[in-house]
Amino acid sequence: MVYYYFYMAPIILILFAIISMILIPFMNKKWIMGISSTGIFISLLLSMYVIITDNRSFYTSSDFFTISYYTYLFFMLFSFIGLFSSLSLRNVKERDVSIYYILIPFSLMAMYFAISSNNLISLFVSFEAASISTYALAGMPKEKRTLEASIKYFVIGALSSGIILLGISYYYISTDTFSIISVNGVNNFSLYILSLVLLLVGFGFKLSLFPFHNWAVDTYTGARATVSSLLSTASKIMALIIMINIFFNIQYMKTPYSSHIHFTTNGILYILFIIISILTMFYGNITALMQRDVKRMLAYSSIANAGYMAMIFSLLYYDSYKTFIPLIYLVIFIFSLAYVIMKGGSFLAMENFEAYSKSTTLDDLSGLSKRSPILAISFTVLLFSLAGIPPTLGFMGKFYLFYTLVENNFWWLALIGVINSAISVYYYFRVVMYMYWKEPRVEIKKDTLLEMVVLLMAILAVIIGILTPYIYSIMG
Amino acid sequence: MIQLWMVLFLSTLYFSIGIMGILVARGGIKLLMSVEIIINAANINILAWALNINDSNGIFFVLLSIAIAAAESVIGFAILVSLHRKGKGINLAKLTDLRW
Amino acid sequence: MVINSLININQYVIAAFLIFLVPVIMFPLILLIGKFSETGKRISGILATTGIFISFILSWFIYSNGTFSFNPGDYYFNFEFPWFGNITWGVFVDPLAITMALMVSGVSFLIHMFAIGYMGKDPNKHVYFAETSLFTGGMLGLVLSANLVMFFLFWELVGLCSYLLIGFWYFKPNAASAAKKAFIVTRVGDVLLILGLAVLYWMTFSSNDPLSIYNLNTQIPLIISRMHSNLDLAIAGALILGGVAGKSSQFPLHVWIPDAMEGPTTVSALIHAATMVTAGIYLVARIYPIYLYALPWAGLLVLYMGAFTAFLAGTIGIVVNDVKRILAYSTISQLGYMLAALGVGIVLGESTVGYSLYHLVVHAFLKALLFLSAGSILFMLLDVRDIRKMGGLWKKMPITISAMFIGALTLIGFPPLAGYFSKDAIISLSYYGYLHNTALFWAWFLLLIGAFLTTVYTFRMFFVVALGKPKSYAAENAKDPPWVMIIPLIVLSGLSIIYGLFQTDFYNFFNGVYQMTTMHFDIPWYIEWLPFILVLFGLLVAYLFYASYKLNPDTVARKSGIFYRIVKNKYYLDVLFTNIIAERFMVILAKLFYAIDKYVVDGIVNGVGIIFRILSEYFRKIQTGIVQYYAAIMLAGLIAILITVFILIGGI
Repeated sequence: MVYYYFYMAPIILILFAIISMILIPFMNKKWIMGISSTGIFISLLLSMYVIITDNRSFYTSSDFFTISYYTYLFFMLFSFIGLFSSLSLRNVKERDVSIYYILIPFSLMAMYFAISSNNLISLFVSFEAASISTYALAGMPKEKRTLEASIKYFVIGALSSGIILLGISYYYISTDTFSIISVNGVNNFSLYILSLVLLLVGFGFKLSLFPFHNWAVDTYTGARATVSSLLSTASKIMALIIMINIFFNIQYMKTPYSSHIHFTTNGILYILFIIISILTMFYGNITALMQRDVKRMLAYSSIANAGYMAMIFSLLYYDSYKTFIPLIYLVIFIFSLAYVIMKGGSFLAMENFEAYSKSTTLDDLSGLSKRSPILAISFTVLLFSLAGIPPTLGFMGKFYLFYTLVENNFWWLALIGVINSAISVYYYFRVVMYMYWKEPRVEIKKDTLLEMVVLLMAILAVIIGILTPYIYSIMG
Repeated sequence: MIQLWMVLFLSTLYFSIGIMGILVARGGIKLLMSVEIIINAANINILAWALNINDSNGIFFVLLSIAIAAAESVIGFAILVSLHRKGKGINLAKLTDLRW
Repeated sequence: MVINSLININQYVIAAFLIFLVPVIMFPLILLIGKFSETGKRISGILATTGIFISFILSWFIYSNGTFSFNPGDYYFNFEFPWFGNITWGVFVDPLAITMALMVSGVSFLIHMFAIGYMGKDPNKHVYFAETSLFTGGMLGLVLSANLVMFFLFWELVGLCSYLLIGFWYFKPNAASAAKKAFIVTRVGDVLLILGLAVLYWMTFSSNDPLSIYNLNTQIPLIISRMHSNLDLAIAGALILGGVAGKSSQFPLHVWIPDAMEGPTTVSALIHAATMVTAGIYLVARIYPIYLYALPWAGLLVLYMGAFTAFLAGTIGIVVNDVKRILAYSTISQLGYMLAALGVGIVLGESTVGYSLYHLVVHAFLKALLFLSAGSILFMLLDVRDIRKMGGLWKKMPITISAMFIGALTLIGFPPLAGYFSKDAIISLSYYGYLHNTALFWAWFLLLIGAFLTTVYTFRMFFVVALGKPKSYAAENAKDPPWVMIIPLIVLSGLSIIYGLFQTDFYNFFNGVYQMTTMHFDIPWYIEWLPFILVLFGLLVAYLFYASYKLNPDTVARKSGIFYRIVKNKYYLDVLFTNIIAERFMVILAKLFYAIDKYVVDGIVNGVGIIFRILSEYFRKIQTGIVQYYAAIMLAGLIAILITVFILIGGI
């Protein structure tokens, strides 16, 4: 029993940090920042320790949660980006401190519970907790742009939580249970497939899949960059893992209709996912081509990345889809590790511009190499990684994803992914071109700490990129 | 005797009303009300089925989702109030600084 | 996939990695400290030499351990990390690899030491030493790599270093164009090599560690028996041989080496004589089972490419007047011998790899010796390279020319120097092969004539340079170079003299690999002594023409007319490549491709670009900023999905 409590330590610790910040009144700014960041940092270390010491043996399951090696794998990513987001927050007003520094760990904890849920009740509650705390975060500091971003996020979020709830209700009616992993039988096929489609739409909103993506562009652009870095990485990966948990765990069956076509439910879903992922990739990449606002370009590219991520659901094609789960976790872990580091790092680099020049267009970035060579080179590395240039982590993430698809006979889908990567190179390199070959137009002040954070992300993108094959072989 | 289809019909009706509200509401408050209606449409489904199969999980879940809907409304109100204080009004159709 | 866990790391594995990592790490170090300080520039040579000495010590450390393996009884160790997909990277150490590593690091060490003196006055010498250091690291990495993909990366790295170093004096137009030529010609070979590797990868894809050198050495029969014919293997071998021809400058891709002599002489000694050009030979030896199990024509191709090149380069060597180019043609010719020795193996079995490698090592010593003594001469004569302007140097710089004399005697295979044991063994080997298979007769014949030609061109050069009267002002005032340049000459002379003693030991060391005993050639005694007789005859010819001037070479040249012109113009290969292929044919092709590129490809690309841009503008307009539109799009998406599902399942 003690053994299990030890494995719960990271999440219990972060919970204690939140409770202590809420309960102890009149805490000053420094204390709250300290407790929050330290709490996230220690739980990051503890979850890394769990991952390193544990050899995938640890697994415990209740009616509501399944806690295992893999949940900590992704919690590690969440707390990593959470830590750097809260470290990069600058110019926080005194009265906003507690909102930021309590809501960030709270949302991390909610995301953790959401990805470890095996029951739609706990899943919905923790998903909503994560959503609600990020609605508030997106609206901070209370300015016109951020509030607009927040209200858009809120409206679409509320609509999609209604859709999710409707999906859950149909799921409940057709299976008599809320559990994902143990379904005894389905008594109404139509409602069942309807519920799965509704869940796809509801969680697809969070992952910003086409055509549920529109909010994401405005919200990532409008919210302050540190919050965007949290929203566009941790929150999305949470939605992806939830969808993997649902769609790769539930029971599928043959359709009772039209006896000449023996479609199974997973057969339908894999077609839907392939169509959606292709549309998402093309939409994100093509729209990003003409963006002059770098932050908005990053938002579109994060939509394209959601498309890459959704390609993994094509493995539902196989009736033995459940055997793919460890492989999918592994591939998605490497892809999301890359994604967290490079996308989170890029948004944190944007924070630098927002804080001082109030806008993030290409003109603001032009000539960056002359004003701040360190920031320019580290942002360049991150953009190279996003574009998937070989030694970097971004390449490795895409490589293993596409390789998995090719190995499972979806070479044409991987080819579409490669074509999209090729398109994306254009707009990433345009930024690099502006940074190195144009004359500076705007003066910005330097922020050494932020630069160091971005530099660290760039270094990690290269080093982990080189080590990835080794990580893959250890975990695989 | 209340049949399943009746419940489904009612909830679908509710859901459609809520959706319509979200699509056409110009003011923020109407939008919050519409969200509540959508969530309650699903709650009706769950509650009816829970009573039908005598499952306490469903009832429990409905209570939770009502609480979550309340929390969501609170956040929504807070954002709307802040927007109002910024002096721009809460007409959603006019919040178009972020586009293209 | 062979993944040794980290627990298996022992001191030998770490040493093997450090062997090539130390010189590579020296590269940025020397470049940085040389850039920022004058002292750094001064000590850059010493730093590079030290780094390579460390590599040599580490190689010796592994070598001296004898049976260096994880399991007693094995003759190798193989340590691999996972890399891309199922490709690995790591080190594979066996007698073949460690011999090459010892040779490369040892010779490179001596040449670096020589270069401290030779490059002493160059303002950019830190760049030179950084690049040679990187080159040595790359070469050692190539030798030790466990996988052909990793091997290919290092292969390209040494090619790049070769390009940079040939063009080191980039302000000389000859050097710049020679560097370009070397780069382009070796690229032709590399394309073939890539194709060969692709074929091999296709053949071994299903095994768990494709392209691993360990697998290629042990599992070739298995691969053939499973799904592929030995025709596939022969095609792969022939394509790889194309890469070998480019790197080891075999006919018809040998044309770049003579031009590469425009670089510093130490570069010629290090890269274009002793080490890099042997990479091709090493590649064939490394994956020898491919040729062994392929259809015999692949092996015969190896044999005849080598033998023909040995003969061809020898003839050109007689008529060239540039001292470095004579040595360059001699290098090409000797590489031909090595390749021919490998080719004989298809008849006699894989123990001929040992003979080839022995000649490779001896040749590295003697050619480094010859190049370095030529380097001393050029260093003292202010870069006069025409032998007709030298003469009488034996009295002026006795140590240098004595070293050159030893080198020349070794090169022609005069007993009891090392060259006799290595080169004559190859000729005997080919005759022994002929006794087994008549197809080998002409190879033996070409190699035999090659031995005669070697003697003639070597001693033509030596007599003209060393004897007679000084023929220029610079030659009159020459003297021996400083000690730092003399010591490598003495060490290499010593090695050239005594290395013949280790012939049997060397073969035995290799026989551990191939589990075969040293062959006893069962051939007539007069055949065995025939090369030596030809060497004596060649010495006589050279003496009559160039030392005593009893016969006038110009008269002979005039009388032989057309033959002389053909040889003098290097068989018109340069003309063929440059004037006909490049300037006539390729220009037309280039214009054609340019037109296609401009009107078709660019048109498509621009068209696609314009379409994407229009689409981009259009897609942006979806983002109206009004949140209710977003909700409507979302619901429309939901309805579209529901309709799709409805169509797919065909009912409700």
